[in-house]
Amino acid sequence: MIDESDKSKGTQSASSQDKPPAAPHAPPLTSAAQDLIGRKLRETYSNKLNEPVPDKFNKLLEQLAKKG
Amino acid sequence: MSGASPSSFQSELTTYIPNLRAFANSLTRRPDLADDLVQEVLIKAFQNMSQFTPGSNMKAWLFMILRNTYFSHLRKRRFEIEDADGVHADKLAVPEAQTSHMDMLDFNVALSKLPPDQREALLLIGAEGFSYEEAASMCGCAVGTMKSRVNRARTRLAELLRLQDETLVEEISR
Repeated sequence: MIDESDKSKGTQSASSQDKPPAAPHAPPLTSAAQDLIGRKLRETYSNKLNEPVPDKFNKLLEQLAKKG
Repeated sequence: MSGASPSSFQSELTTYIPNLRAFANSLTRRPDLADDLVQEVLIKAFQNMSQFTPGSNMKAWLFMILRNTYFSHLRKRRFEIEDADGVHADKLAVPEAQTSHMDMLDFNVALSKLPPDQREALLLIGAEGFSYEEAASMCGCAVGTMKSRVNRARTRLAELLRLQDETLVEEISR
């Protein structure tokens, strides 16, 4: 496995230096903000999670099971 | 002979398809690509069935295959990534004046602006509920690195969604 993932400072330097032109010092993440992010994240996620699984997946599994 | 019976392997695999789809969808931000990746994961899972220890964490195993497949896909399209994840996302961005901060669209746009490793970390921990240790193991990084990615993801989302304003957060939360 390529261990580039630990060189996170290198790959993320663009984004971590790329601050929006707002306050010079970003305030710490409030727990209210963190809760809100968590809630929206799970909302988005569960929309997809609760979709019925399209046929193509079960058909693929059946094909794979036959071969094995 | 090691390995589960193929039919119990298959039925357990089936139970994780919704999760794989949800993770792939949020990670890639492209529903068609997401479904293609999940299908690849199913194929790989069968090919590597003998390497899976029955009774161990199949969900984590599948998610690891999925994220490896995604990142391998990104590496192959390295020069297109900035376009696919950057420019495309920017085209969807709503001008500041019109932004209603916590529309689903804005949240998804903000999510798509995170670097993939941060988005992945946030999804594994915040959406799927893996532990930091599990997520770090899946992604081949240290637990500290995983925590750092999650923190950066949250901070960056808060910036993009302009959640530093506490009164705004209260208003949205109502």
